[in-house]
Amino acid sequence: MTDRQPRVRAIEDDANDVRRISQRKRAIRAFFKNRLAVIGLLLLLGFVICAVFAEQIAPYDPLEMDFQSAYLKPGERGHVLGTDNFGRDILSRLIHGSRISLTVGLVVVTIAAALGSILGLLSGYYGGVVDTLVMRLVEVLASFPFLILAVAVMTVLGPSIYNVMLVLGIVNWPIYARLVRSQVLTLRETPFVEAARAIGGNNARIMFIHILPNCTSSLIVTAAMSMAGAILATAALGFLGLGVQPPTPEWGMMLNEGKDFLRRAPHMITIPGVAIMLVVLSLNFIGDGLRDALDPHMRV
Amino acid sequence: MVNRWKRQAIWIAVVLFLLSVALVASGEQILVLSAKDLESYNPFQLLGRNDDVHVATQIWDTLVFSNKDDFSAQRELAMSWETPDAFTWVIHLRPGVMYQDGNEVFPEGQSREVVADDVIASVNYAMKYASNLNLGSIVSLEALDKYTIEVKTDTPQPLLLTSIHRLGDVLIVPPEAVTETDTGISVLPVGSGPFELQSFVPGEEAIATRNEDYWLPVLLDEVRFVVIPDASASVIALEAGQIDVLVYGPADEGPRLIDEGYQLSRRGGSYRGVGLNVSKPPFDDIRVREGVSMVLDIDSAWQAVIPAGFGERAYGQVPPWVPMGYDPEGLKDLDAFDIAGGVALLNEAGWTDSDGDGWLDKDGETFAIELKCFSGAQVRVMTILATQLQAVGIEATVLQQDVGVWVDDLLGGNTTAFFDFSYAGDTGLYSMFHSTAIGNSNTHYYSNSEVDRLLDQALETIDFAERSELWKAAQRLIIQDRAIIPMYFEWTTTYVAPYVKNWVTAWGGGLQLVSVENSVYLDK
Amino acid sequence: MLSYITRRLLISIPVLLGITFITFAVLSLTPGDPIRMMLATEKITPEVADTLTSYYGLDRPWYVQYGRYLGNLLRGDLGVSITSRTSIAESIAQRLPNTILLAMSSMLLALLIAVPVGIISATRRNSLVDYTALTAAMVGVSMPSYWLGLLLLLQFGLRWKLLPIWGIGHLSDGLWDFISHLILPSVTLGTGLAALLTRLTRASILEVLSQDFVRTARAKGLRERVVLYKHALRSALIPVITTAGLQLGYLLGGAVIVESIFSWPGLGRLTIQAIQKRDLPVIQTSTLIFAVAFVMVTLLVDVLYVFIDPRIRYD
Repeated sequence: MTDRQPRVRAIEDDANDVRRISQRKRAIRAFFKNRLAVIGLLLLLGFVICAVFAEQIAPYDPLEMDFQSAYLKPGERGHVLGTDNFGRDILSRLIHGSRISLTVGLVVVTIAAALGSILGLLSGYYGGVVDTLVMRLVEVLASFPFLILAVAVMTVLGPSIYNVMLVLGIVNWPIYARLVRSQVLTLRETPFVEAARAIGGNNARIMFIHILPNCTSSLIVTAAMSMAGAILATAALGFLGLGVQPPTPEWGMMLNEGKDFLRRAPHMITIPGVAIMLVVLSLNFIGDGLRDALDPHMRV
Repeated sequence: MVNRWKRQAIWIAVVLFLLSVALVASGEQILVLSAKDLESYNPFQLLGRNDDVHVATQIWDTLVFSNKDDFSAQRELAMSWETPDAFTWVIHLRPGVMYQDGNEVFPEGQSREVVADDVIASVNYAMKYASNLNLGSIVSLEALDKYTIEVKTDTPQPLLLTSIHRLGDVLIVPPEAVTETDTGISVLPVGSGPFELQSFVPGEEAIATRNEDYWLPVLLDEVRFVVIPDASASVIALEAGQIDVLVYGPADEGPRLIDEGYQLSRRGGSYRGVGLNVSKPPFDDIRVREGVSMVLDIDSAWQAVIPAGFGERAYGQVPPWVPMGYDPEGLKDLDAFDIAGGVALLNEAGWTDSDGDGWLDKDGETFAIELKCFSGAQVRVMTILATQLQAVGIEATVLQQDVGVWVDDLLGGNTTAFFDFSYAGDTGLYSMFHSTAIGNSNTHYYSNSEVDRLLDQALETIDFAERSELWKAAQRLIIQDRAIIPMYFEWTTTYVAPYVKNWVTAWGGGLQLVSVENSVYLDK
Repeated sequence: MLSYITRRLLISIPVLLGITFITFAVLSLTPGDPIRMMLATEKITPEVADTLTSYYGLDRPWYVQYGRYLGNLLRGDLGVSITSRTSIAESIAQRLPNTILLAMSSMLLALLIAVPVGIISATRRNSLVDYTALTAAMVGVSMPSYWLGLLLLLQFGLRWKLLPIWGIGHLSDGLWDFISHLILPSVTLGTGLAALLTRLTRASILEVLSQDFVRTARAKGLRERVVLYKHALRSALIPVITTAGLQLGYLLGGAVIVESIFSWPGLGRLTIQAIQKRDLPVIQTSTLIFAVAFVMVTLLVDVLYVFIDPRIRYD
């Protein structure tokens, strides 16, 4: 019996691999069949290209001011999306701003997912006191009105891009913790985990090698959705003047600056708003597509 | 069943219609003014620089108010005054001015006159609690008779009654309305002013109705202050006809609003500049301060934000309305915009781009500064300056802070360069630059014994012209030391709807809705 | 049932305690002392500042302050605002109803849009109507609410001058005054939720329609309409209502920015003002109120759910 064990495991692993590969293929096919998801992916790709090649794509220096050509409407004097109150080219600022939004979104999701997954794993796997502590913390954070917590913490830390990432990371981890914990609770009792435990796998190995990979599909779906949320939140903090500071071009900050010129230059708020909406929309489309493809049982 | 409903509906409609007709027909004169914030109407506690003072001056009267045109004192509760010698003021009160009645302090018909003892009590409360007022030189107050007060000062105070934040700004309250507690002073909203306070919700609104017994004709039935914190929302509210007066509106919208027929009323004008903390690197080196002030194109920066006619270029700290020390001609030569020269000075001070990353550095440290600032039009000016500094290799960003944090950082010296502003009148130079005020109101941490000497000497100088010269000399030294980079004086602007008649804005103090010169009414 | 509620209430006590503690910790680290601030802006004298500091216990170590705060809280004493010196309980009593009103009307608006659109979308799956509704819902979810608010303010308040853009209306000034003030803030706050609930309604109806009891009903030869409205809809709406209830808590929090844009005299604006002025006792209390509201709403929804749940299966 005991000497057969490794071979059984190897076969099981092989079977798992085969199943995983075919599952992945099916998922990819399902994703690309979803028209909205593909549109989302293309949109996002566009933003990513803008972010990476900002210097090459942007027609103007995003910081360069020209008071003679302030408040230009879209299309006037070669400024495709017009200029702001300082005569800065709005398109160039949007292109450079996409770098900040996407970076913040990505970093926030990474922080939140890492923190949330680890705490969720520990909480679900060990149960007991650890579980109680983590879940109470999750509840406490979830009961806070998000903006008030963020505003308070931002005033403590002072406004800067790194603090925005940190704050949003801290605020966002509970979703991941809940998700991973619930998966762990079901997976903990499954035969393959019990088998792994029976052959003396240590806890860390079981948690990270056997359990966590089984959570990836729902993690990926949640990540897409919460990245959308993080980008919205970054812009909200920028709008309140608590995020990235001027003259750096950041979308929420651009809205904040445009707010005072509602009458004279409404395009100063419409355009950055549309940009925020499009990137969030693309992530939501992708998230939807991923969910349908990877995890048809997950609800909205 | 159906019929009954119908009949009821018709009745309700008729009643509603009649009600609205009654409201329109009565033509109530309700003036709605915007406020940025309301904290308290307490005349001795929170009379800072916000909208509270406007509410309080409707409830309580002052001795005098400043004329809008020539800054001279106009009679209010004080009928006349004289100065028998340099240290004495004698003030004669207007007889027969009654306090408001029908309230917690004075029941209906049981009010009393405003008398000399009330003035003395109020000045004493103000000296004890109202730290925004500058009354320290008063040594004694005495009632010579029911309507006459004698005020003695330790030094000659030619501006005691007329300068803002002095005796003329003390609101006269009946002591019956005052309770002193261990955490301060509380005052019931009962005074002799033109309006009686009906409700006050901090942060939301204040409503005051006409004092029927006021000694001057009050034409408005009601004055309503509503808080609209967002500047652009308040402009829209004005244009949409939802408020009648936008108090302290944003300057950028000014030219357009004037074109649309709104009345503009300007007053005061406060100093705005860049403050430098001279006690800490990088600005402890005069060459760096000089260099930075040379690379900044102040003229184009402030003009891009403040429209013509809404401000004036500042070459020093003392604003034009202060009767001593205002000196644009004498200071103009110190403004030297010269990018190449400025960069050369910075290089000379050791700041060069030695690692080729585009930013200046010295001893391995990048020249990076945060321009600390609180929200408002100044953020835009500072954004321009930050961009100008980035262009010469100084990694400057604007840091928007809550006012409280900004104040804390400035007082604690936790700054490099910062947005600097001051409403201070004839005490400004002393409180901002005297070495004894470091950590208190000298946020530049500036200390120069010669400047101290000149300012001290000015305090003791009786002759007005002589005193002004001492101030000018001190101010020139301060600018030469580059403790500040003056930018502009911004007028405080109020926009008034065309149908609001007889509008006058006083220089100091509150809104002047009813005075011997005017009484505001609506002509819609 | 009663024991379930009791247990949940007991569990919420440590959660609320945790919230007071975190708020307190964050605040005690926050730069900017309200009293120094008033002192620096010349609103009070140094002597008054000293008295105030000791009155509010700001010179004591944080754990003493925290203990004192908890003690007062247990006695029902919410304290006095540092900047306006008025009773905090009173200002919260003035503002909380306004925020609840705004949240409820946004919720109502969201449901009024989401349920019919979701039903139409689900019954005509993959039609043009369905795609339009789905895309609109996605756009609604992706829009920053304050941005929508600014656009509405610009269009309805300024260009068309149709609706008031600040403050709250009073019934004493007529029904229209009351409703017209509610419209813009409610639309701003409710749009995102409407979009979310539309998607949920559609998905939920589709799922229910594929379930056995519906198939049985159909097999019995009942008309499609009857199947939909009598059998499917009732169970399909349960998750919608549950989510809507849970979202109510988020609406309360989301009111923060909307209240600032439209000068709505609610709790969110009070909190932001208090944060700016570092009015510690006010921030402390209003955050707690938000959290209590959230916890209570969640509990209420869960309790309702337990009541409704068993009936779903047998209906």
